[in-house]
Amino acid sequence: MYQMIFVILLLIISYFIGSHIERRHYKSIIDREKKLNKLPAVTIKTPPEHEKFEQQLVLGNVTLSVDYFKRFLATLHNFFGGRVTSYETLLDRARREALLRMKETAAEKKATLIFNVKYETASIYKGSGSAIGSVEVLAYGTAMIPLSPSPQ
Amino acid sequence: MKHNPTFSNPEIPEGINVSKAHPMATFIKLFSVLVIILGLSAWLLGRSGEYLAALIPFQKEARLASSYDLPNDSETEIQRYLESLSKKISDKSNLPNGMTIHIHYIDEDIENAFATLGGHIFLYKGLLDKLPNENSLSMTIAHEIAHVKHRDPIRSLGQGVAISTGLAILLGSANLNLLGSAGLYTQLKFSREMETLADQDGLKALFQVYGHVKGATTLFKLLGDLAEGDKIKTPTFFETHPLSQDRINTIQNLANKNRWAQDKAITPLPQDFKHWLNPTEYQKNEQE
Repeated sequence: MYQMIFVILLLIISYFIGSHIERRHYKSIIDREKKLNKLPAVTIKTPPEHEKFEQQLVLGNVTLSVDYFKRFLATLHNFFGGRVTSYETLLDRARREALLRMKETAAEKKATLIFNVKYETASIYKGSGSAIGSVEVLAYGTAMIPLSPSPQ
Repeated sequence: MKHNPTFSNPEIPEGINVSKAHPMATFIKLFSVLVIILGLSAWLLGRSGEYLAALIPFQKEARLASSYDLPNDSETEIQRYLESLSKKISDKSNLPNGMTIHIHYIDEDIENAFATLGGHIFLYKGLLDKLPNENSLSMTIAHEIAHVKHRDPIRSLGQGVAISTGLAILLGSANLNLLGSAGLYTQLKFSREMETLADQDGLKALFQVYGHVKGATTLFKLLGDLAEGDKIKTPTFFETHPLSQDRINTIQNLANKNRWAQDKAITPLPQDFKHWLNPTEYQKNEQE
């Protein structure tokens, strides 16, 4: 009985805290995406040849976890099948955050373009079953840093 | 001519990779469906367990019960009196062949009486102390004998075993103690339906013994008063039993329908009954 009350309490608390953190994260993602929009990241494999560039590897890495409530909801999804909607925001946020971190690194290096962008996704809870609902996303690409300032 | 491509990242609209479904709404929907499914399967398991358990012959049930530690019934006056009374009632209860009743008097201040596996009926001093006459005591015994007759203890056990087996499979529990370590002293939970049927059959037996049913409702009035007066420590007897007023009404309706008299003379308890229950107290009083 006490165990049940404890679980319900955890669910309620983690629901409110979890959704607050998620809302805040999305707000920050959307803001930063707008800011970094002028630095394009593309998946094309051949670099543009009209200018001299220094090429550098840039990385953006993030590890995110869902809250207790969403993990509980995921076990319910697991039982009934269908879209695991409670993990969709986790993966969406992780991918966008990883790309943003990569872009931020590239922006610091004064890059004007990142090409050959790729994603790697890894679950870091291998073997521990459903105990941890975390995901790691790595975004990487080649930053193009102009050697001479482009003529204005 | 050199080809100079231009690159840009357009603003992507929100909500492509994320469903619109609200997590709390999804949770409530899925959770209630799961609870309904679990509840239905538990009910179905319980009913099938109950049905299968009723098919176990009474002799097998008695053998199972004898594997538990039974109380050593001392040859006291009260034990002899309760045995003779229950013999009188069981003779009129139309028990199937081979079904025998064993009465055990327990010297503890608990207001309780229950029937368990193998036709064993436990009567506690606490309840007997409060009964005003032999008719209400007979009604108590007749009610418990009716439980044995309907195979309620084994059916209740079968229901419990089926549900706990299902739970153990679901949760992967390793130690499965189906029959329980407390053994025969564990009060089995009877459904309200079982209680009502036991009331009806008990009343019939009471009529067969005394030729009237006066005193039957006294028992339930007493039980109701006990529950009223002691809300915190509700005697265990009530936990599964129908509400006293409902039971009294049902019994009165049944008596009226069958034209069983309710206003005949009551049979008192034996003169020494209180003495049998509290031998030491009475000795002390006599000495004073």
